[in-house]
Amino acid sequence: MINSDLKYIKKHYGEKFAHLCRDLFPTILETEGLLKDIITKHFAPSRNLYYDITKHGLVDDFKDFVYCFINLENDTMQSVGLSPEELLLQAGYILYPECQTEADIQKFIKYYASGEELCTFGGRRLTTCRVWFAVKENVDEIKRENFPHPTRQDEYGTSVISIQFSRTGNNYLSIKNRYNHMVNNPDATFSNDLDNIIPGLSQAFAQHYGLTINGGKNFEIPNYVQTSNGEFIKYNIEHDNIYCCANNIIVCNGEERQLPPEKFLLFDNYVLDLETSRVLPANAIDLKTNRVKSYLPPYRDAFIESLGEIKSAKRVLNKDGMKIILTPEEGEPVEIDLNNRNQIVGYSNTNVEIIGNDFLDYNTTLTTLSVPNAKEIGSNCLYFNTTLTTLDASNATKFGSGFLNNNNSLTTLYLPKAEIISNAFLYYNNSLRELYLPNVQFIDMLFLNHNTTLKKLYAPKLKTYSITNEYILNLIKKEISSDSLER
Amino acid sequence: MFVSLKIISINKNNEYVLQNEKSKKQHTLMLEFYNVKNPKVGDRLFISKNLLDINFEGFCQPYAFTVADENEIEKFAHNNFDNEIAVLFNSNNKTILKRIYG
Repeated sequence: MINSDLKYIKKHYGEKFAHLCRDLFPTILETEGLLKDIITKHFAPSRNLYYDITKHGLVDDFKDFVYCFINLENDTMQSVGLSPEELLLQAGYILYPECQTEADIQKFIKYYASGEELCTFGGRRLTTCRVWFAVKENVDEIKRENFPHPTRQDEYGTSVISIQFSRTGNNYLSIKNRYNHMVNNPDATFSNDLDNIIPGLSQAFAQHYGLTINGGKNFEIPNYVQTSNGEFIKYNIEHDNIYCCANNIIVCNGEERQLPPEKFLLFDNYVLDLETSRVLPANAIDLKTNRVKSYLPPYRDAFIESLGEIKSAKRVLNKDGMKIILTPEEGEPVEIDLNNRNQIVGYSNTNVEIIGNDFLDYNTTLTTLSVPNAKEIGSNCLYFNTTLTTLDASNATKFGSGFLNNNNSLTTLYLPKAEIISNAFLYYNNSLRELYLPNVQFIDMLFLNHNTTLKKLYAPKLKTYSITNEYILNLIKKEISSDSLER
Repeated sequence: MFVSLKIISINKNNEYVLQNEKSKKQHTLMLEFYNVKNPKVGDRLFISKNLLDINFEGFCQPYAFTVADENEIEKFAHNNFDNEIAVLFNSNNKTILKRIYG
């Protein structure tokens, strides 16, 4: 009979993930509910989780991460009820109350030799960290002059320690040494593990002060954000610390919010207001009230500008996701294809003439772009995109710098009207095999800088170039007459 | 070994989100800057790869930096103190920084 935890995990995370858990955690599964609680607390339900863990070679890290919570539970059993103050007293320290003000911190500067004061005393640390000081009971007997050859863990160095936790979701611990910079790694005294002072101290701090100490160990999955509750959620795009996820979920400052689906549709880092048919950046929504902010600072967004004034919006579900059809006040409908995570995978717009700078710069999923009437493409457009395979920019004469900088999927490209190609065009691409630029006259530096796959380059009118990739340079010299070229 | 990272956002608590432009991998570090103008989004930071590794023995948060003088720069260069220095690039200039502790 299938274990009830595995049954739950299979339902919410997929069969492969359940099998992985079965293989990795047989002993944890002997305690009903334990693994289910850990997984559900730390991972938003997702059928991508198995693939994202295995694709990035994180199986061992994932296992260690889960077992970290099992160990914490064991420590709880060993040191039930003892506070950090009590434990440190057992270790010979007086733990003073948490510093709440700069004046509280300055009280401890007297313990530090001249020139060895912590930069904590410089006055800004409380912005970033929670700060405690622990002082050995016999501190008055431990004199600096008796330690002419400092080492980090000697009696003087550890007689006054500042225990600091960063004010982030994972509260990174740093134990500051009394010698400060006079020893190596002074901010990692006791190897930044409170249990090296006395067992159970990490858990005591965690429980009494509501901290999530990772003891210097951390688990990360690419393209996942961890909320302040410790839950990992896969995101589509992060911009300005706003993580836009599937299912209308936004994570901002560690807080997870879901936009009401009857009012908004979140796609990439944009929001379609279903009541007004406006497309807005995700940060235009007040996450507390679920309303468009009454005041929006001026912003320019090339994607939003490309849509023009929208009269109406329609959504059509399909087997791959959804198509948004935006009807502008003037011109033809604009079509935006989304996958089942609401990431933009296709864009078709016959109205736009100027594609502004940074157009969909953070998008990494677009495969088809059709802007046949665009005359100019700005800088850094689709900068981080790696997936585009089809491009129709048949009337564009100028391409700004950094266009498709990270693309590695295009194999053939035809830009019939292109005259000017600015620097870093397809900078990292190493998949393009054929490139047709019948009217190009100027190509700037870092053009196809990493490409060694191009076999055919047609650029008969090329006059001026500044190409640094030797492979491409040789191809150009072979393909066209060198008499017409000047560097 | 050093890596060049672009500052793509700066959050509260002095959290800097840094991105390796080639690998796209992002790192979030808490950084403090003393006696130097705080970096802004778009600036680049050149730091030791070790400082990004939470399993590195000397990993801690936040990392604090101040401006290095010429003698210190020379000492660091000759003694391979990779983890002690960083270089901040902005549109106008380059600033060599040293770690400070505590």
